[in-house]
Amino acid sequence: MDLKRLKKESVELQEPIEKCGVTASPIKEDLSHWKGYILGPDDTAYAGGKFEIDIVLTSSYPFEPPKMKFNTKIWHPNVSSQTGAICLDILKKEWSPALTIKTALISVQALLAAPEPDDPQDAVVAQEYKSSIEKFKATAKLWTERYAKEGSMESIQPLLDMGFSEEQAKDALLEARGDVQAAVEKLLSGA
Amino acid sequence: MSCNVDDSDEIFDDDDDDCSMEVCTKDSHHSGPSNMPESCYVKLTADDIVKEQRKLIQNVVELTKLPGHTARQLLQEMKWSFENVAVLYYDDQDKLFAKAGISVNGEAIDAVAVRGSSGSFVLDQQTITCQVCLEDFEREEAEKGMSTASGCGHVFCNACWVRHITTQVKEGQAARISCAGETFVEGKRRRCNIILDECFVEELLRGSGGSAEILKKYQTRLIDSYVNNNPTIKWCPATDCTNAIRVTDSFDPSSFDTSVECSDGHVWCFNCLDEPHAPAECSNVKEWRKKCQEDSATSNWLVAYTKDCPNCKVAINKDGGCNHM
Ligand SMILES: [Zn+2]
Ligand SMILES: [Zn+2]
Ligand SMILES: [Zn+2]
Ligand SMILES: [Zn+2]
Ligand SMILES: [Zn+2]
Repeated sequence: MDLKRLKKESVELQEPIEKCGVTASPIKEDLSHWKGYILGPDDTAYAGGKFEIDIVLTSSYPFEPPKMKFNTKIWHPNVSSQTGAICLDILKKEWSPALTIKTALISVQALLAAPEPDDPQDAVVAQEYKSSIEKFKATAKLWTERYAKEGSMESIQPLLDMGFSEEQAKDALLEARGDVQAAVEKLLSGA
Repeated sequence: MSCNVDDSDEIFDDDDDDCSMEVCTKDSHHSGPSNMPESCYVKLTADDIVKEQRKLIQNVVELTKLPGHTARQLLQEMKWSFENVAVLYYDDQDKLFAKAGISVNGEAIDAVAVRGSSGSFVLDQQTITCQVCLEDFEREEAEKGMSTASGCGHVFCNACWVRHITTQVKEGQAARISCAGETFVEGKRRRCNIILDECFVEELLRGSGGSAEILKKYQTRLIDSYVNNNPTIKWCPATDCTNAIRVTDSFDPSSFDTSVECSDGHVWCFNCLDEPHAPAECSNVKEWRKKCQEDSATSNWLVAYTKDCPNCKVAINKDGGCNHM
């Protein structure tokens, strides 16, 4: 592993995420394991979401591509809704050693804005994308709200305090359009 | 051709109940191997193949004035026939270039987008950064320690080139190792699709940081890609034999005897790579092999598929009648 290059990459990636929409930092001292974030592109179902990406580098990096997957659940034809595995050519045979963690993350972000349903990672999602784009967008948006917007719902805390799980609480709030009282009633009624 | 019988030789052995093919190997015999005139084929060693391949590339370079890596792509696309390249070159250049994915001025279509991207070798700069290791090089250092791929102009330090090529060879690449650079196509980043010229690769692998083992692997794979994509050349099927046979225009795949002999004396059918089997046809041998596998007691294929020529008592194909009368 080329430590000199990785240190430079690390410096370049320290910029705040708001600046170019992606960021990453090593979580292991040997620089082989990183955690990255990408912001959902505006005007997409992912807008407003912040997605965590798991990045593993082999000893041959950058001559071999970084291994990337979504840690945050996401509804997208080219990402497994189960495992977060990403189907993106530059992370496979189109990789070039002149690309970097940053450019790879930017490419993943671009994939969110332009799905490729004909080269799917998740057949179920791709099928929904092709057969009913409106339904797809609604699910993708729901998943973004549910999984990619941590802390965005301040009203969630009272529900958690009542002993409901984060997922239950989020879903109830989403359905109640943020009305805590309605959400509580919904949860208590067992709906 | 006469039908003289070589009476000292039995064509087949009835007692032989295993599946080996006991066939007369005397050239004098009309159903023996290598009866095919030698003008029908050329014996090649691995070295001959390298030379032949280079010569073809050189011919195309001279004809088209294209760089070597592009000529290689064209030949690969045209099944390594210089004639086919030449005919299409005079007939329809655009079609020829489109076939190999290159534009009319000889550059890969996708590579056009590369120009102006990072890393073009501009010598009026004081320093140049290798976009792979992100190391800065002074002008004089760069001239010695960096190299540029022809066709796209991407520049990297030699150490990075070697590591890139080594990784690709280890992954099984050779004829299509692409440049280490990146490009921007239809708004998407991807690797530069320029194929590295073989002289460029070999020079780097011979230099510091390259390994002789990788160089050897690379060269072997290049030859394989040539042979495997060239219908007129086949490796000798004998174990560990590195010879090959190239058939000429006068080779007739439907002729009576299609057996050839390599420089080390191995004799085999050019069509099916099996042992020589005239007068039986390749399909007969295949069937017989299958039958052998299913039923170990099957007798010699000659019994099943041939009868004796009434004239010369030599085995002939049951369908065809004697080919020599
Ligand atoms: Zn005869
Ligand atoms: Zn370098
Ligand atoms: Zn290039
Ligand atoms: Zn041989
Ligand atoms: Zn045959």
